[in-house]
Amino acid sequence: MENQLKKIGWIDEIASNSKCSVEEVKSVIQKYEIQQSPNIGIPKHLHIIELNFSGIKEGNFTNDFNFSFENLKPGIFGVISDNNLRGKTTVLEVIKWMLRGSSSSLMQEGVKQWIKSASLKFIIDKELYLVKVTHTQNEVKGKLVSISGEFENQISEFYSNDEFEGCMSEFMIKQFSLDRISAFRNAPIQEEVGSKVNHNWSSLASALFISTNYSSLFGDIPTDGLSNRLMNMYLGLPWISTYIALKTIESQIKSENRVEDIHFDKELERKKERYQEIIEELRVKEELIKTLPENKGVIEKLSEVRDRYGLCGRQITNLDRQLRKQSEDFDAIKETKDSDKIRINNFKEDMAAHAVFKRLNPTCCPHCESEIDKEKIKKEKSNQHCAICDSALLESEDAEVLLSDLELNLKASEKAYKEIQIEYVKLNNNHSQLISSLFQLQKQINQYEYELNEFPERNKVEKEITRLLILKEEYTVSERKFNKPLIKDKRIDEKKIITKAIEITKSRFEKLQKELLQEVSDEILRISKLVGLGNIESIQLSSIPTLSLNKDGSTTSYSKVSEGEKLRLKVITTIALLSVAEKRKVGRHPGILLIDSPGAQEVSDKDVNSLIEGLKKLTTELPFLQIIIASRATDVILNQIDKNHRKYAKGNDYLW
Amino acid sequence: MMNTTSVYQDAIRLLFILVNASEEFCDEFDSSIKGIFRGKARLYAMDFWVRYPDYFANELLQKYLEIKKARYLEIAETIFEDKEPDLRNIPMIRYLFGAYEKLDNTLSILVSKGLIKQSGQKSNTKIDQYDYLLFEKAFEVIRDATKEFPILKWYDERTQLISEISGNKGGAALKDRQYEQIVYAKTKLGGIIPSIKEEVHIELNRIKSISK
Repeated sequence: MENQLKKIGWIDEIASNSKCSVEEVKSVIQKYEIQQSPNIGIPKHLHIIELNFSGIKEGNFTNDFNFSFENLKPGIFGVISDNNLRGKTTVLEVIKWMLRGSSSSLMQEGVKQWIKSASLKFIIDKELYLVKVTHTQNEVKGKLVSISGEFENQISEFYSNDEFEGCMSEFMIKQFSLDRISAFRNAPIQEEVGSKVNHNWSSLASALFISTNYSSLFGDIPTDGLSNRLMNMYLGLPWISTYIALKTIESQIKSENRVEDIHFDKELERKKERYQEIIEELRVKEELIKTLPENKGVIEKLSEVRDRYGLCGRQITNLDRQLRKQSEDFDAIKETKDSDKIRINNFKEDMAAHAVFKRLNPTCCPHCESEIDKEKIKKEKSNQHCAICDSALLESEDAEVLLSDLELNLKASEKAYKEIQIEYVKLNNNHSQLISSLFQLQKQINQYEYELNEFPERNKVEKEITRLLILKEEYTVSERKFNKPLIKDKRIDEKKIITKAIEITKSRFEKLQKELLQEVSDEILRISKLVGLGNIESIQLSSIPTLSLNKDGSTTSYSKVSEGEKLRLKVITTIALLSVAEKRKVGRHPGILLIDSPGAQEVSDKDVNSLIEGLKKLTTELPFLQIIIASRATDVILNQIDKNHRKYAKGNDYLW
Repeated sequence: MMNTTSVYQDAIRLLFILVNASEEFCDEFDSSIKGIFRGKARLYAMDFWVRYPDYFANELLQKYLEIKKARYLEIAETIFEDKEPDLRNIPMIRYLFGAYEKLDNTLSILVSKGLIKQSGQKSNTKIDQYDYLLFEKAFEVIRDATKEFPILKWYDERTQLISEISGNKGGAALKDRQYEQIVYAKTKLGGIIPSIKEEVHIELNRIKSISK
């Protein structure tokens, strides 16, 4: 079964175990840019063969300097002085600077400014390399070359500090099959999501340098679980960089979820508090409104009066239309009646005037005013012809009949006028009444509106209650509304996939890791006797990494032992790792160690001497191992490190 | 309806004006002449007031405002109560300087019937002013006709009142007064002079309200 499982690809296995589709797994893996790293690390060895640096001192001393440490090879080498502050640390720091591509924080900035050029020649598995820089105005320029006989093959050129660091990082990571180590750093505030940080070669190289800080068993950076990641990387385990990347993502997702939970909980709490406040406010307002006069009746009355006002308005409009029409009829009939009256009047006047003038005989010609004689008058009466112009005088018509007709007409038009007047007056009265009603209704509306405005306090409280009821609804915490969103709800369960990926990835190196850790533990115990730690009875290195010790019949751990013991355990842990790697042909450590001032702080000369004696033997056992120690001179150091293996500043001399 | 009158109606109307607005007159050559009406323009002006009761009512109101004689206000009110502006209006045409209608034919009836005689003050060959000499018979005809035909009583009373209101004003003065009103009514030359009853009625009510 186990064999069968191993035959399944990494992604297929994750998909199978997480019950997700291969596509889903791939999408998550691609999203987080996770690389598969199934290869074990095959040991390669680096040793320095030459260091040069030169420049001009400033301050108390202004001399030129030109330091050179040549003919280095595997074995133990020393940078030694009788007194402190003679330039030992600077020598180690320049080596670090050249190897890492960046100087460490332990290098004094002022001293670094003095250095105008530096170079380091080193060999990686028989290949010779040279890194050479010039340093002006705090920027470096230079190149990295491989040397074959008399030929230099340029690997890269750089023109700034960043480029130099990038160049060395890429070169070393490739050479030793390493990978950048990612880590997740939590934010200082718990409400914020932390950030992913990438440790490049500068951090990886910390496992090569042992300064005076022994808090971490591996490297000198205690943060981000770097110690653990460095050790597993240098153990040469397969899949380790994949594993590290997955762990980082797991932390990131956890952080995001945690922060999401914190915000969610806070929001929930805030809503609950606000809900209680709203309930209390509502209670107060509901009590208050009971004490305020009711205005419901007024609103109903106002509504009713407004309806009646509308109805009345519509009736007036209809009546207006009727009145306009009737007004036209009324005017027409009135005109007829007046015309009839005028006709009768004219008729009567004409008849009267006619009668008056007919009785008068003409006395003269109206034109010439000559008198009309009696004969002509007589003739006019007898033959009915005008005495002046001789025109025939016609008999008048039957005036009584004509007058009667005219009077009948007038009677009829007066009757019609009266009828329409009655109707018109009736409609007009209706109109007046409706206008009056409309006016009254408007007055009532004004009155009710005025009365409503007399309840401002009640209106205000009613509005406030309405607002609070809406808020209450909004802030009601229901089970459904305030359940935390389930991961299930997300389209892809990333957390589950990452968790399974971690399990599966770990399973791919766990067995080898266990074996290697056990072997390294055994090797540490063996070596511990060589460096004066004979009182240790058993040692167990874990993957964390922690070092559990049985010493003098009791159990202790790395963090609890003395500084002198820490120094030796830290050095021999790395050497044990190298030793096992060499035997198993599995590992990524370059096989060089730079140890600065082992006698500093609370480490006694005795401890240092034990360490140096042990290391001397170990360099014999591990012929590729190169150890460079910067130390104050002691007899043991001077005895153990050959003259041609050291730079020694005697008395008040300076190393450079 | 446009009120149109017969030639006898016009003749009797003019006779009332001539008689009631005449002065006593004695002609040393003709003892039958008893009165004189001075001025053709005056005759036209008075005829306009008979034919346009609304304009006359307006004149009464102006007179009332001048001399505060309540009777004039009452008569103006009665003119409107009796709807005279509608029933008694006999339209006239606006001519250059006021109301005009050729009355010669009508006057010739009065001449022919031996009631009046036209006279004139001549300068060179042109007659400057027409006067109308009234025979005694004209006075008798008016007196008898008013008794016999009550319908003509209105003319008798109205022409007496117009004579009273006109006082000593000559034709030119009366026409000027009317001309202001006609222009105010914005009548086109040659057009029928319109009624101003609405405006006068408003003015009547205004005066009544401030006179209480």
